[in-house]
Amino acid sequence: MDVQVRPADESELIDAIRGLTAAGTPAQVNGAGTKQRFGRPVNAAATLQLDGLTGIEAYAPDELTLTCGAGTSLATVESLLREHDQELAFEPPDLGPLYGEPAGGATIGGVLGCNLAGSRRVRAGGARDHFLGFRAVSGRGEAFKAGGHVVKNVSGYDLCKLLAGSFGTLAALSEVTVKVLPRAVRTGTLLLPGRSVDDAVGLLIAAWQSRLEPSGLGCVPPEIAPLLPPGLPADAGCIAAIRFEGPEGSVLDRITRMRERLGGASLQLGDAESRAVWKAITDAAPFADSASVQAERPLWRLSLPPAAAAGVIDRLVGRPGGVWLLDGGMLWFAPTGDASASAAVRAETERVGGAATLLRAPPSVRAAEGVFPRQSDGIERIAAAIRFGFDPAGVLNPGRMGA
Amino acid sequence: MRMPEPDAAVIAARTELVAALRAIVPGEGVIEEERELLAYETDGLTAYRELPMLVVLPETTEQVAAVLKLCHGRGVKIVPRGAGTGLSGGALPLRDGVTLGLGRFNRILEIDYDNLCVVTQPGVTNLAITRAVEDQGFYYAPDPSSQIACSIGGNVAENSGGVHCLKYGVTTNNITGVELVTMAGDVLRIGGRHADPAGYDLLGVITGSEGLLGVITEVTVKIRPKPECTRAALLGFPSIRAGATCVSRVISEGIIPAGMEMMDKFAIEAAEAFAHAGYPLDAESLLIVELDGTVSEVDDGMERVIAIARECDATHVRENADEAERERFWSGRKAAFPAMGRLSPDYICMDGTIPRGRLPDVLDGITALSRKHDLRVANVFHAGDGNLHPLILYDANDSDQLARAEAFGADILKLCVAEGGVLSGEHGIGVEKRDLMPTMFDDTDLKHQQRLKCAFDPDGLLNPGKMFPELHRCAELGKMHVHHGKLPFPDLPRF
Repeated sequence: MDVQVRPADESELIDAIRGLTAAGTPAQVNGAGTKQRFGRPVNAAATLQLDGLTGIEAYAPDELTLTCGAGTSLATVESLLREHDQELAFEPPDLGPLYGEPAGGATIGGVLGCNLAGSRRVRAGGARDHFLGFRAVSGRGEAFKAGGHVVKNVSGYDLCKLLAGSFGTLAALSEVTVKVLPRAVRTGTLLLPGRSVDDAVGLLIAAWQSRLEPSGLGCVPPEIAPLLPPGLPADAGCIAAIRFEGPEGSVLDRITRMRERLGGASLQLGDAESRAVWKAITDAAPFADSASVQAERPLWRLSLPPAAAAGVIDRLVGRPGGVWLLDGGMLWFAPTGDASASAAVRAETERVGGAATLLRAPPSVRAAEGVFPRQSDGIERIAAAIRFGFDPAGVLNPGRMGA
Repeated sequence: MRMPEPDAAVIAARTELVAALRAIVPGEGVIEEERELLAYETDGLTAYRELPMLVVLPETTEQVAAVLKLCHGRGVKIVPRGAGTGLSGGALPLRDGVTLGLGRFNRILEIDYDNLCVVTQPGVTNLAITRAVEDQGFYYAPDPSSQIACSIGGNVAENSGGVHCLKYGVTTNNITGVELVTMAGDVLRIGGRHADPAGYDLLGVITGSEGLLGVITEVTVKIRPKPECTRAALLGFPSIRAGATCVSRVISEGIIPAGMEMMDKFAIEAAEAFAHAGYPLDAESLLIVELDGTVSEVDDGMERVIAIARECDATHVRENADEAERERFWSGRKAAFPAMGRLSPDYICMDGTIPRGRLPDVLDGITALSRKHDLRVANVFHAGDGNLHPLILYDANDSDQLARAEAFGADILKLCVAEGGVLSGEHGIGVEKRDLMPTMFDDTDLKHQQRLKCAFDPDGLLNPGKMFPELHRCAELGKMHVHHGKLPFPDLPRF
């Protein structure tokens, strides 16, 4: 029997977690649940659903901060920000469709809990970098807060970092404060098609090192290009895609100068096409086709030192073989067939000092092979001690991040 | 300053400890003579002093690990120390503690331009990193005003900021990896050259942990291409409120300056007298707004900033004509601290952050407190992010003035918290603001923070007496409080 608990405010959340600990019942902790199949399967008889904790508590655009219930939908937050020409600069991806969940269903707490950032990661930092403060209820059934409501704060340990990417294993967020920033007036993209992987990655690194401030660095292989929104050339080689954002004149100026600097054949995408293409890259949309979704075909997300990407792609395409898409230092990789190819992917990633996460796979594979990279024994010991400190009874998402 | 009760048994075993430490760190790396220990009795917060029991200056990670393991086994407290420039007393020694200095870790290990990062030892100064990469057109963005002297390891421990952090972030946003030694002597490599490694973000919690979680022995920092163009404007206003309005308008119109500094009249006058920066002496508030980026973007932005300033009744508007003039604009701001040193034998610098919109009211409050405590105060701030640096002038030889200065500082920070702000924007809690933590955090909040401490250092031997007014025993914190009362979900299955 699966019991669903959906608190409507923090005091109900406290009661819910106290109820779980008193009963010794572990719970799967979700925002709206669009990414509940991200992570190792949680063996829980209850679901703690946090999407009832909604509402904008405070938003002052010129303070660059927004405070809201952790279960507030991301779409609500983003549309409010847009009314004031602002945005979440870390460009949160919408990964729900990769799991067959409807687009636009994610909550702000879920995005922070999974520490997900999009293509602008290379310029603006990750979700963790924009997470300023929170209220939460730990596995002890106690409400606590950390951080603050201002953009600059070093008062006490930075527990926002701890909860970002903790996948609900330490505490259930009830309220979050995030940094918000002005939204660029224009977006434009320089496309350099017909390149080898090696050349394309080299161009992206050169762009990153330049003073022209690109905000997206993608490498799209020929088999992926047709799966992205229209505008990309059909070509035998890879396309290096370099995004620029800012005032209109500045975007056009930087595209022109980058094209001159990098040389070779090129195309440009205007504002609307650019936004559509980068949204698809950020969301890994080419991997959300219905066949892959239904079969839960394995999909990896590799965080790499950016310059190491070409070598990793080269080796993974050789063995086990598969389809990939590079987004800054982040590589999406779907091995050929249904096998997760876990050993090969992890070995190639570790060889360059990166981290490989099995973002999608059938539950049996996630359970058997794990989802997150293995850490050293010393780090595992500390992680276990932190988990004990915050959730001694192991009621919040036990096992989701690992043993 | 109240510090943890010294352990008499540890002090009694000092000679033995010296011998054991010498076996790990040979030669001059162990300091026991009082006249040499004096150099370590304080840090940048000079109001508090204590002679350390011993100082040890290891050179390798293996030595750091062995020292920590030894001290862990003997129950000896450790105070990590970078360059000793911290302003919150984070490196204040303990009478029964070993101060572990990282000054010998002074080498840059690798510059990796392809991944835009530098791997460095922690004792390297902040500025030395930029110096090492600037000929290739790169720099390290966080720029605390002590950057010529402060170490990158200390920056990580304090999560240091600087003038440019509104646009480029503080230390935590600009590092990707560390090597850390725990109190038990385990060497952990956390992060690397990639973004967002999976697992709990230990890098994120270590940054700003003020030496309470581990000793940093290596840091990987991000570097950035130097902006193509940097321009600044000096703007004078007839009131604090007009200057503050200008700051808010700039940001709400979508401009994020690289730096946006504000000074009040007293600070303007003192800085001008000291540095001759060309500041308008008739202004009640002064802004330095600096923009960087590509030429076209900076041109466009500066035009808009000037227009906004005029709409906010600016009485003085001056763009820098050349690089020398831009440096002159900054010379006054950077001289604000020494300028105070000329007006008063001593000063303390506070560090609260407030929601920017509260600035005029908070300044009125600070003026009232200045009268109440009968001490002068000059205000400089990182206006873009609401980080205040009121400088309280006093004479440390007058114990009544020191007590009043401390009370004045505490009142300012309480005011910041009451207005929705925080105790510290970039200097850290240390000993200075330790006892004010309960004004911002309740007991449950502080206990959850300390549970993180327990995961790294369950015996509480690393830098005790800092950050928390009271360190709870980890065994006590680990206990699960069983909450009786109604179970709202009686249909939950029970195992």
